[in-house]
Amino acid sequence: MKYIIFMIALIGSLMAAMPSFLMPDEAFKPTVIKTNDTTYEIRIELGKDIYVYEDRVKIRDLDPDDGIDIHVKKLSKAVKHDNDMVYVEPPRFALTFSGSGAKKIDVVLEYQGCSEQGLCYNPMEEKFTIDVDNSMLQSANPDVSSSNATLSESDEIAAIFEGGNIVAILAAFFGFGLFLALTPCVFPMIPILSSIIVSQGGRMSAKRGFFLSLVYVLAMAMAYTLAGILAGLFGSNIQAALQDPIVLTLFTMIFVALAISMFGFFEIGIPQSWQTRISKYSGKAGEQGGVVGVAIMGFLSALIVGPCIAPPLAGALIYIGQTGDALLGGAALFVMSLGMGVPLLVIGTGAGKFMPRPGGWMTTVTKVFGVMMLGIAIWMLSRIIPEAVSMFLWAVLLIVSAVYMGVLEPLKEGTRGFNALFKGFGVVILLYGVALLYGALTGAGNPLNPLEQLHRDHTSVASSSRTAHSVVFTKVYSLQELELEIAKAKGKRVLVDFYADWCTSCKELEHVTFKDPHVIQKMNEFVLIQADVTKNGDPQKALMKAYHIFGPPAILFFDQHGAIIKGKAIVGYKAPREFLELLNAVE
Amino acid sequence: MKRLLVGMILAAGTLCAELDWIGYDEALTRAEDDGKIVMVMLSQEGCDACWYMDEVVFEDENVAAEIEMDFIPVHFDIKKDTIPKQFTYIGTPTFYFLTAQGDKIERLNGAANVKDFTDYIRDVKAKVKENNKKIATP
Repeated sequence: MKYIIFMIALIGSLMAAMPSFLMPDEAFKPTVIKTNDTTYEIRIELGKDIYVYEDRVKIRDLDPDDGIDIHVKKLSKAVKHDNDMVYVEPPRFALTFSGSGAKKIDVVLEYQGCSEQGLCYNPMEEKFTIDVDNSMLQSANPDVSSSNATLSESDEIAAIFEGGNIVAILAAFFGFGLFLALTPCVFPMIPILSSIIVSQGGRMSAKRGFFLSLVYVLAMAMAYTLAGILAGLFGSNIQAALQDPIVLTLFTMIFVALAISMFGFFEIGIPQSWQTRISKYSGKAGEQGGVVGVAIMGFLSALIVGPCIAPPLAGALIYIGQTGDALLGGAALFVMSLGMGVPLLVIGTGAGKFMPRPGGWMTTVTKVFGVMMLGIAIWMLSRIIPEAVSMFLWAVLLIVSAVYMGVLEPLKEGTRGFNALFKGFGVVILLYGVALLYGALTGAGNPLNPLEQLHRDHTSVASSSRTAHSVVFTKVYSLQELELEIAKAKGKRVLVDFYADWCTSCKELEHVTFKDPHVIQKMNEFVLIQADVTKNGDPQKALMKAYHIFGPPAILFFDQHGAIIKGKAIVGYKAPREFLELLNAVE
Repeated sequence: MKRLLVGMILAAGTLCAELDWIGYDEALTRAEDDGKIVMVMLSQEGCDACWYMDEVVFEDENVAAEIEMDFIPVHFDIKKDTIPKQFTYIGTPTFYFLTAQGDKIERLNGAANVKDFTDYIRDVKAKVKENNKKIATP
């Protein structure tokens, strides 16, 4: 209010006569223009001293059931004016379209504003007829919800870009990156990077460790940025495309080769030419080769190891997709990746610094990392092989390692101390390996919970009369199937979980969040559908595109009438408590 | 904050004199009887400038007293009430000053601060006096 009082006081002292006000058609001039192949922009030109209330601007589809959905994105930022949020600069809105069937569509723009000089205009309406042709629909921009709906987390992050302050945007994304660093998207890179550094041998120092980590992180950041820009601009998910059995198998073989080289097994059975080639790629053949190898590993790790969609990533992709601004969007992704790389830098530097001097110790450490490499290989492979098989491989790896550690041999007379400790660890590993073997044979799915079946047998008896203790999804593999299932569920709300075997965060959701009794209870209020996009073929791509999803995990909600509930989409892994809150927010 | 402020002002308003807004037809009759000028205010909810008039200008004791003395205030909400055709507006608040016969004397677009509004209604009164003289003289 202060503002108006000030303005009116000012006018009063300057002019004896009453102010003359602009007529409504001078105060507001709404226009619509086509800004690029897929986007229209609605803009309200404002006369002198005119402002528009943010919450009174509404863009409506006159015929919401015509098969075309309009997605509105605010391009302007409202400012606080007295106690209202208003636009003092001409507000702009980007309109994109999805659905099918080219036609002319009628869009109504409603708005209301005032003059600073003390006059509020009537609410106004303007009808626009927009020509939507097929090409606009096909490349409909990714947008998870319209601006009138409440925003999902990704949209909120996409909205950060609207602030316009580059430093703030980049700082925010660096922060997101740091946060993401401890999620399953990045976590597996820690053993990979440290193994690579260890495999570089004894000439290691903190400085060189840091340098190699930096090369790795930069390569990783570059890969994320490129993949992100391509995904944002063209909607193609390179990471998903690389989750192909052949690529994964090749990548697994690289790790196996690295492990073998670390065990020093080259002398048995591998031809000389192979040996040199492997050494070259694993970075043993001198400084140059090492750097290139590390860079390649960084690049590939980003693309193959952690194909995760997390809210900040999706937010940046939405921004790139909607504005075509690959520069700022890409910069944000790059900075985010650097944030993700910070722990890697710290650990890499540490690995370089505390690397033992060559000798007995050194061989042990190298071998431990060799085992770790094999672990990564199994983990990669687990995306394409049955759970029981990967569990069996884990069991074999652990049991063999334990035996190698000398668990089954008695400690030498008179040696205790470190050797006893070492053997103790070995026994634990052996026991865990045996548990995994049991799990593999009884069909448990989660290597972290190999005795699942044992556990379940007890609880199922105890709780059989109570609520269901698990969630059961109906699986669908294409848009047609999904639409059919949603149609069948009419009258009930639907939860659609986009899932893929290769998606680490999806597995985590499945093994942790979906096992929580409260979550299960709440989830069972919905008709549960799982859209399996493991294959990443054309039907799966079309399915993700139809709902503007960049990749799994993503969870969408549909209401009783089969219409998508906007702004409630869940992207990325959520812990049970947070997931439950998000579920409760769906109405 | 705004709500709190409004609440406080409303609470204060119940204690001190407040403008007595009445219906249009009744206002014309009363204007005839008391020889006053009808002051019509068109406003709407969510209008900052109307809020300013209601809560700042009309809360001013002197303004309220001047209105009380010479005017009969009438209020229309452009979103809720049917507005007589002659009251056109480009926005709110818009004021019409009318004779007891319902003839327009003056129209004021938009809000004004205490001083300007006081000056303005004095001008309106002066104009009415002038007119009355003209009518009386021939």
